[in-house]
Amino acid sequence: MRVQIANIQRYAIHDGGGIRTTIFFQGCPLSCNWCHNPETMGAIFSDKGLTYSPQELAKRVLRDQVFFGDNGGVTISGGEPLAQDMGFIVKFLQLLKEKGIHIACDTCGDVPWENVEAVLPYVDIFLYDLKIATPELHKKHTGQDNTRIISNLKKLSNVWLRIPVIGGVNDGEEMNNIIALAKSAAPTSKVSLLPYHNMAEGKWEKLGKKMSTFYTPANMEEIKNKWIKAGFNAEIGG
Amino acid sequence: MTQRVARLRNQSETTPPRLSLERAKLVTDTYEKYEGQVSIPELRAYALLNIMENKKLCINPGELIVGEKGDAPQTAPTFPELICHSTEDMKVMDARELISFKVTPEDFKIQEERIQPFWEKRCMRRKIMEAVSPEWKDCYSAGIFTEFMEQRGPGHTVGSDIFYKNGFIDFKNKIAKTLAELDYEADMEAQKRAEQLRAMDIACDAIITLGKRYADLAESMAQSESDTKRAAELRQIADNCRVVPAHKPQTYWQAIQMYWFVHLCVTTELNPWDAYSPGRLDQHLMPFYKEEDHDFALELLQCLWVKFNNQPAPPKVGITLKESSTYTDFANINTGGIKPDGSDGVNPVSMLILECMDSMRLLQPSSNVQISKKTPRYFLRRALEVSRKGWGQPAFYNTDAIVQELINAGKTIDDARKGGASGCVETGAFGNEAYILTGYFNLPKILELTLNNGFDKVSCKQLGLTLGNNFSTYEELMTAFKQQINHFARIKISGSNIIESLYARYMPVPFLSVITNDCIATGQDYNAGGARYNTSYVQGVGIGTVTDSLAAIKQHVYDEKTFSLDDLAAALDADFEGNAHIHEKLLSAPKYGNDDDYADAIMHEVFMAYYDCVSGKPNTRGGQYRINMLPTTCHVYFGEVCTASANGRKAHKPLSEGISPTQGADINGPTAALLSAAKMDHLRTGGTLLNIKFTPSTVAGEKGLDAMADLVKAYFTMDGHHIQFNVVDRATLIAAQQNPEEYKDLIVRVAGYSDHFRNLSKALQDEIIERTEQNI
Repeated sequence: MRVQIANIQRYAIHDGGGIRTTIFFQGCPLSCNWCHNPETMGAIFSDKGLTYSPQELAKRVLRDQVFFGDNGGVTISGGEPLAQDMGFIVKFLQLLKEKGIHIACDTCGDVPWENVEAVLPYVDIFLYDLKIATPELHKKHTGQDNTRIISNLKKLSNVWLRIPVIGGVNDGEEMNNIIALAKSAAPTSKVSLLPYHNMAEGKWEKLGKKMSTFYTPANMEEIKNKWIKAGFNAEIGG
Repeated sequence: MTQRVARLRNQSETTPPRLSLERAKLVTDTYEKYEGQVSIPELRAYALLNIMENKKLCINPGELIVGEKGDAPQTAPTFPELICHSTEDMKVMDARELISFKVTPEDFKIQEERIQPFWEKRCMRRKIMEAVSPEWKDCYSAGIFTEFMEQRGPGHTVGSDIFYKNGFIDFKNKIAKTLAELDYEADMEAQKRAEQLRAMDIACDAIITLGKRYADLAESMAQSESDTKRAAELRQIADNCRVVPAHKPQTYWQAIQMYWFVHLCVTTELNPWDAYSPGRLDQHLMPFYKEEDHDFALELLQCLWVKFNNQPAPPKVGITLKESSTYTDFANINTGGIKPDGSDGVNPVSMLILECMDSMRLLQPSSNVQISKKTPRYFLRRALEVSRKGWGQPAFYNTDAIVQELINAGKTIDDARKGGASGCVETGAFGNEAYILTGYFNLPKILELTLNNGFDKVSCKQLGLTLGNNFSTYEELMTAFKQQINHFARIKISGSNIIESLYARYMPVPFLSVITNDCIATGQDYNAGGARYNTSYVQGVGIGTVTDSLAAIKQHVYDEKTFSLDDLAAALDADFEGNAHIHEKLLSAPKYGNDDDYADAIMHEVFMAYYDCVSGKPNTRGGQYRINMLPTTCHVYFGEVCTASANGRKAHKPLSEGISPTQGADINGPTAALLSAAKMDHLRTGGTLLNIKFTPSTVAGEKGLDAMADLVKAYFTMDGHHIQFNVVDRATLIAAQQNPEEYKDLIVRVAGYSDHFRNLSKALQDEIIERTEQNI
């Protein structure tokens, strides 16, 4: 049981609380045209990517255990961590949980419910992406509609919503739809609003692809206030 | 900051340093008058008394704490009894671009007509060079080690609370009592003790005289002062100086003035390396502090800060300048930590000191915080808030490690808890210990000599043992390396024993002895083993460079046999010219600082070899040699004398600094670097130094601050001794863009995540360069 890892980021301080080690798994069911980690989209990143057994990966990330403190831990991300060999993921998370590690799962949500269910005993918080509420628009920008994303979200309680705010896509009327969706699906969630930036352009270039052009919304404060008005604990960034 | 403080700070920052020969003249007068008539300790005390009776006094406009080491801010007295500067030395000091001291034509005249004829043949530097062995001199000249006491007195001592609880009249009474109780029948050293004690008594008179003279000056200035507010201040200064230093302080203001008089006397008596420091200032001042006086208490503290900054380190020349190329004199104030009973030591004055540090942004005093497992999070966070502003202060010290280091070195738990770190990072029992720095020790140079059968290709001398240069296994190489370390440690320590003996004999320090336990009780001088504890430190340099070199040799010569030792030697001799393939292999070998056990295990082995060769050897003062791992600026000088090294470092380039990884070698982020550094056994040392560099945006915001706090806590949980942060600026980022190889370890905050700067596209780098300044 081996899985290819695109990257392991130590001292990650913005994917959940405290100092964390974030593991970027390879492969994602969506193909968002603003993706910040386009190198994790396909099944194989490069022949240089390292493969790990659950034991090897756990040993590797536990090296930083002393830094995790009371709030830090491990974040599984990607790519899509719940679109992997779930036997691997469960075994890996089990090994971490045995050591009392706080686990965050950064997911797009577009995975079979069984996959989510399998990690429920181990994941302390789901960093859950909500990108677009309107199904057709979702399909246009990510390649998939959002039926599964919404139904999975409704079943979860320990969620921290992360909303990429993409200029020209969801910074206008669509944001109201997202708020309405969040109110019905995850009304008590904390919300992080992540303004679009073009910093992944270099990565797209390296992959020989052209990134679609969006803009960084200028009205982030206004959007944040909308969320707060709707009763959410919302922040920009992080 | 009040206008007064702003003015004083500005004066301190803009006045160019210059020499003052006043002290040199007064010391010469005393020696001419008394030498041969009184004992040497008394001669030294009379010299101090003569200075304090006759030196020009100075009260700067608006200042509240009085006293300068020279005759004005930024004047540096000379110490001809230690080093008698040649005319050429003085010309160089006057003209050099960095760390210069202005010299007037009058100074040149005094030096040539009065100072040089008297001191040239009797100064300590001359005595030392005549006494040490030829092999010591060869090693010293070749840069195997340096020698701190070649131009400066035995140093490193830090004040306790003793002079806040006793005035110098009280000390005189104690001295008189010990003198009266000397038993000349049973104690064969009684006569020597009597001389020493009488000298201490004279030294007390010296500081009391200084206080009286300042009281008189302030009084007379008050009478002619037209500004009534300033006149009242001057009268209060006069009143303060009639209380301290003769009597113990009654107020917070007097307590600070007391410290400053003591500081002036210690650093005028001789020029001990690393000046003098109040140590646990927050705990010493707390009994005098009243919360309702916060604003004025801060202003007084700021006035003290200006005083520290007004005193440049004594002028240095030659190798001694190279190893410590700075005006800073390393008076390092410890804030926080624990109390003698083991409870948390953070108090309102601790917060005041952080506020002072933050507002003053002065290089002197060097300020640090001590963090124990009991330290409240708010204090750590507040200290980090100051630190992340990017100018390097405060540094962070691990109280629990320091206490353990001190207990390991034989201190009582009480004395250990009162101790801390001074200078750069050196551990000591404040007020109870003479922990003397003897010099830096060039570990990479010793590996270089090991690979060359003990021959130094730079000085063209056979300095090391002849153990061959053809090692068939890695273990053979390591065995030879350890033998060479031992060889040079033996030469270094032999020389230091000679030098310590010379200082004990010719350069007693009766004033410093008065305030250091247990010199009065035993009638012995600080420089002759009179302190309760007596340690001699040798400071190891270049652990990163030497580790990476050995890791590369182990991997490519022995494990993988990529090339032979001969091929490597040829490549190093050629400074890698025409050997690009070997150079590339060396650069890509495992490196210390990446949490890679291959390299880190080598670091540990070298560290232990160095420890075994030095630690525990007896010194002449009844104590032991111990090691610490710090460089000041010596890694640059030591690099100059080294040829190319097997980690891929080119000839004459700087070595790694402190216990930090080789510049640019740690590419797995701060947690990996700290894990590597923590594999060193810090508790066996008397201090280690670790630098970590961040961009401002990486540590920005609450998350950045919390992560820094977690980082410090984790490093200290692993017994790390010290950590300091560099938060870099735009200029560095631009340099990083131009020379990415040199900045491999630079991490930047991108947006929602952090990344290595070198991993970003040019456009993103440009964007971040544009952004960064807003964050400073």
